[in-house]
Amino acid sequence: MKKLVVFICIFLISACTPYTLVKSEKTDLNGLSVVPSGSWSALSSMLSVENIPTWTADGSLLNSIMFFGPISNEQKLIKGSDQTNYPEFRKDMLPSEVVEIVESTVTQLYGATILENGTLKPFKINNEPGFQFGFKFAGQDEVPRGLLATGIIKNDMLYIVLYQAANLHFYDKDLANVQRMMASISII
Amino acid sequence: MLLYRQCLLVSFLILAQINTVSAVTEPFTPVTPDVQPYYQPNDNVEAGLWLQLDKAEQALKHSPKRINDEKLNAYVNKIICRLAEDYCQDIRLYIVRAPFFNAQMAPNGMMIIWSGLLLRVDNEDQLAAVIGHELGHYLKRHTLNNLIDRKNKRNLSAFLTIGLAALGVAPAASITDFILMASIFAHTREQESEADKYGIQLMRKAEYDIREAANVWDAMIEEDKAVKANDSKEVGVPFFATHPPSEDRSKTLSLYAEQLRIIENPPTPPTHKQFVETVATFWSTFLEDQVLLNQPKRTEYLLQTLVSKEKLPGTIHYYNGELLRQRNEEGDIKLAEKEYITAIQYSDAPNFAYRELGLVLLKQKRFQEAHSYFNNYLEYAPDANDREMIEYYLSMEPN
Repeated sequence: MKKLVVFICIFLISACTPYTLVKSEKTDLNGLSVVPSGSWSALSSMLSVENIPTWTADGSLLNSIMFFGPISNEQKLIKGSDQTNYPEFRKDMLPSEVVEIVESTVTQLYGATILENGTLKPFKINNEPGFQFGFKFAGQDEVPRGLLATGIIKNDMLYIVLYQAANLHFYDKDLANVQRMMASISII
Repeated sequence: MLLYRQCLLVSFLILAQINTVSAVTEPFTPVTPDVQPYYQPNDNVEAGLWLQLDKAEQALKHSPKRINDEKLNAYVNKIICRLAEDYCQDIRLYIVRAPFFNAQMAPNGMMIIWSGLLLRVDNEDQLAAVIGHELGHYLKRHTLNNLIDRKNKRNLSAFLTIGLAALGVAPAASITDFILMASIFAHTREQESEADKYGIQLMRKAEYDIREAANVWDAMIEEDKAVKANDSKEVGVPFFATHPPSEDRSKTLSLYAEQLRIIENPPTPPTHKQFVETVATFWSTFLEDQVLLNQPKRTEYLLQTLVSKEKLPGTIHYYNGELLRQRNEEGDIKLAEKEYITAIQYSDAPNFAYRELGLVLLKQKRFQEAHSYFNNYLEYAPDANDREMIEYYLSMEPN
């Protein structure tokens, strides 16, 4: 009986763990497959936004990667509530328009201001035409952050991975690992 | 946590508690200041409060959202000093990128002007009306008195130790924290009425058109009505959270204006030229921030009001196109195309207008025309940060 109680306690404690180490092996998330590079921890559903799979290297306030997909026509990246105005993805969107819905989502999710637009360029995902873009923003905490996104619209669905980190030190620190991960993405 | 949801929540909570201001019938009586020039805190409580506010101000000084443009800051500072010449040295201005109509003034002299306010007021006199109203709160020590009242209900040592948190107000470390601190900027109806009166008195002394004070309120009420009439769930006006709107209030201001006009000579007409020339430079940035809120009804209303200013038609048509393209209701893409085509007839149209025109044509599979505008875009913006993507679009051909 004691063993059972201890087992249940351990089970409950582990269920409440806010972070779980991500194994360095090919991982499937929301219709995407990715090979981790570097050391990342997955946020529990308690910490992540709307259960969107999210990883962090140093804590989600410092850096994070969010995996979105498959987002279908008229679906939002973040559902939000009746009081929010998150934009919808539309299947006929061009990459330039996906930038807009990501910027608008970030603006509303973090109470952010977009400080600077970065490059938008084609990016092959598993040899298929995807795209990559970046921008800088400051949220409610006024900390300037960089964001790098890699995505693809396939079979009228949007798959997109968003990396964001504080400009100071953290963004560059993991950028090479993030780029390797983004290059490893494939659609399941 | 969502800033805008919080704004809305705070608005509702405060509006639920504050009654509207009734229209006055009594004659205008001058208001006198409770704060002297070069004012410094004169007791422990006030000094403790200033210390907390100074910390917040330090964060505000270095915020990436602060607009540091010298010309714009000098212009707004000039209005402040024209309204309250004797207090000019005591007031520090911070203009921030926040796409809502709002302004705040803290008891330590820190004045915050939101970019959404600059996008909405029609002329310098309307901006002076809002600034004058905020100066009224400062000169009558409204915020300070409210905080001291709240402090009296709580533990003094706790206040001096942990500052605003002891008053149930989160310490502000950022601009957006100030929004959450809306409760400290909320005033009683008597204080609002007094600040209105003080504001109009300052306007009169500075020879602004005092009728514009009522026009500001009317315009804000109109905007909210227009948005809500469309059954929209778009977020309301944060300024209303601390400044309850009412048509009575506007009537009161009009009455004051009428009374003061009888006492003195009619004021000079509103100042448009320098206002538009200084502020219009930022319309693109302000509209970009507004568009990202994904509030098409409010954006549409704002664009209509900007048209009346007869400035930067290329910019206005471009954002009309953006609004339509993003709204994407039936027929919008064709309307967006027309707006972009009109935009590029004007010299102030942003280079992006060519790109967006290319995008809407590409979506209609009109490749040849799309390519032509994409080439225009790259010609006008050779260092565009989306050049590689545009070149990819140029490689797209009919299936």
